[in-house]
Amino acid sequence: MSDHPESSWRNGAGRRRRARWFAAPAIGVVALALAACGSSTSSSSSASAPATEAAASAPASAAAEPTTLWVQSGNGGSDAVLKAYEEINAAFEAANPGVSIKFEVKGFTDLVDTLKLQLSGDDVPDVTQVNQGYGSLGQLVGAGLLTPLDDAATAQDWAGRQGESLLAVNGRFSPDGKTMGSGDLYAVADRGAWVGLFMNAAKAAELGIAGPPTTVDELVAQMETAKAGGVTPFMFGASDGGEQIWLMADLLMADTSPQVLTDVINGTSEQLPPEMLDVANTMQDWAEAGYFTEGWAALTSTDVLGMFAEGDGLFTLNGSWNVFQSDTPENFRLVPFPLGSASELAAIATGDLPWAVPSKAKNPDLAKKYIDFITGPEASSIWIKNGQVPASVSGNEAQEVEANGLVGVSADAILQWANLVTNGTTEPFPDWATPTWYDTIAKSSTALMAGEITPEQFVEALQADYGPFTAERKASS
Amino acid sequence: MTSLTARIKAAGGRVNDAPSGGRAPGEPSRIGYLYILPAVIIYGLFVFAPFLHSIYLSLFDWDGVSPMEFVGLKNYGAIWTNPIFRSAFVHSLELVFFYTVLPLAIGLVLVSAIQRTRVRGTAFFRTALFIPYVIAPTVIAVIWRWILAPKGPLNSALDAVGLEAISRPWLGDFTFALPSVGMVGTWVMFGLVLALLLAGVQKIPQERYEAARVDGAGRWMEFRAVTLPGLRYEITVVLVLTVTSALRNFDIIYVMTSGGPGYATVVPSYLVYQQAFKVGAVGAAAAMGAVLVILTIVVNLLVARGGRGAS
Repeated sequence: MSDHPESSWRNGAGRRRRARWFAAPAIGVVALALAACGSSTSSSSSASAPATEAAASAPASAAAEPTTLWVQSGNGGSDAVLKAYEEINAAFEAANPGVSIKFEVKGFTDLVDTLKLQLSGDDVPDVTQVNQGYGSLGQLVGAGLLTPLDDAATAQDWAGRQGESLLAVNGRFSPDGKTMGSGDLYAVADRGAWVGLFMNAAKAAELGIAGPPTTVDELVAQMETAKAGGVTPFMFGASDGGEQIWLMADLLMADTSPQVLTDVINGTSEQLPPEMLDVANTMQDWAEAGYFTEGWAALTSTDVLGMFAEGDGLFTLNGSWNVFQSDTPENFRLVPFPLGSASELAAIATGDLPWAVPSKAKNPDLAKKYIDFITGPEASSIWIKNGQVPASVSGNEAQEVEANGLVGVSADAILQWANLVTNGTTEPFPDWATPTWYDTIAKSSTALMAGEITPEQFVEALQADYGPFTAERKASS
Repeated sequence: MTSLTARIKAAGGRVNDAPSGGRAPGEPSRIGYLYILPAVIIYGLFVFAPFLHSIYLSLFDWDGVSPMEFVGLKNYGAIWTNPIFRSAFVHSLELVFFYTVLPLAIGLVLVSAIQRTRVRGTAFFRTALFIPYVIAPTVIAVIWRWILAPKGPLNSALDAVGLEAISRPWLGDFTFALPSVGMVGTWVMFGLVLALLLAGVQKIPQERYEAARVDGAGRWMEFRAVTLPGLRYEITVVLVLTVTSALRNFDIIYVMTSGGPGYATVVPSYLVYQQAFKVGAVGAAAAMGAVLVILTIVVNLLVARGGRGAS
């Protein structure tokens, strides 16, 4: 549920963690500076040199009203993202004289765990990131804590920018918070996040493997080749739970169709599809065949991605938000997981934490304007410049990627996203189906792959969580 | 007494009249309650009131924002019927072995050995041993996660001396994850236990050992008749501190395993956090928290009683 798979890196150990400690004091300084300025017009965020000029010239125009827009982000720890926000905020302030942005940053867990309490109070941000799914966005909507954004979405044609299905996945809910994916629009994402297969192309060439696999059978054959060549076929880390959930969803799509996965996540039926058993068998087989990293149960997906970036292994499964820097970026590729038929294109692909306007926000109209701006074309260019994946597709991605000199997984993350949104099916994260499913799948699949439980027991454990929640949700909506 | 007071007064002396009358000098005065009032208010406001409130919450089905629904003792029933919840409490008791029994056993053996010999630099060793207890648990967990990692120092060392058969992904192993986390607890608690016992054993009069030896006591008899009774109070303190740590363990589990692999290291505190903040089952979390607090209080009362009973 609220434990978005991305939390694994947002609160994960390692490099990113340190980056967050580094960022926190900087944010604190900005916050202090703002506090010192109070709500006067002269307050301005750290990166708002143009805005200061704008504010200075504002009295002359007299039309601009001095306003502070309180923006709350949950991207703490991700300095590349925060740097891009600084640029985007400066651009927004420049475009809106008299407006200064108070940009507050929290870690993912801090944000998600305290949001309900914060938004129930009176002192709320004008615009905040929220987490998708029943346990997070659903509960906030059900409690009436968020404002629908449909008027702005229609006026500015957000569906034209990122496609209706992506809007629905990230932010549509029935007003009672019981049905996900339809109803009013409560949140919209500014950056895309999708899960794909990372491949070490240089190593593949050494092993005589032509290109990325297009079917699961081909993937298995390539993993066998790698194993025979003494290369770990699949860098896999299960202790944070994300990777096995993505693998399960991808295998289910490959075994059936993207629609079956969509139905499971939307809770169309209270019964999981029978193919889940095949998926469970495959997962156990792969672990027993020795495709995974040694000691996978004690490693996190972030651990193994780090090892992969340093040259270990042939494949790994991870998110576009985790594209890594490398001395040899051209050696690595990021492609959608191969589905049954070569023509099919689908992936777990949603937004990063989407943006919403709390019901008690003091500047709701300006807040909507801000969301429109950060999902608009000007912001998209800034996102790409900073190596991020803009959720909105402009059609200029290829040129901008080239202009900014992005190669390897950084380029793939952006280009494949645009392709997925335009030509494929975007799937929500599977664990959004029930508030407890993330934990249930994560823990049960580790037991499954370690041979502690049978595939039948695995499916039973998932069904025991999924069935009652889905039934209750349907009964009460 | 009255006559004494009267006589002093008659002699021109001054006597502090007891404000409540009839109270012997040195007996507690009611004004004493005023002195502890600030502490009582703070304790009541920040510990007792929230505890009562969470017991109240435990009787409801509540996600934190929606209207609350009264469900009586259903949440408590779930602790016994849900196998995962139940296993969490079993894991807690297993951790008591590693946090309490093991450090105490090692500590007693070492202390009884040390008390016969003079160790140079006792102060240094005491400080060194105490350090693990002073380090923040999160830091300890991060360090041990690294040591126990599949390619970490422990496995490398085992492999280097030809013990590949023993090396394994400790925290990813269904059998060894809980003992691995437990051994970290032993490592943390051992220093505290030894520091306390060393201090205690030094205040046992040397004459008692001499008397025991004159009576022909061997090492074991000496330990049983002199050292152990002499350390009664220290052992009580050790039991209270370590058992409480074992039962409330959250940070080390959260950072090292998050309850995994599977549910192999799930403990009640972790479930409280997970149910309240991840699942949005505030009532269930409150019920589990209440049971944990009550369990801790009961165990500590038993320990304190045992300590007093022995005296």
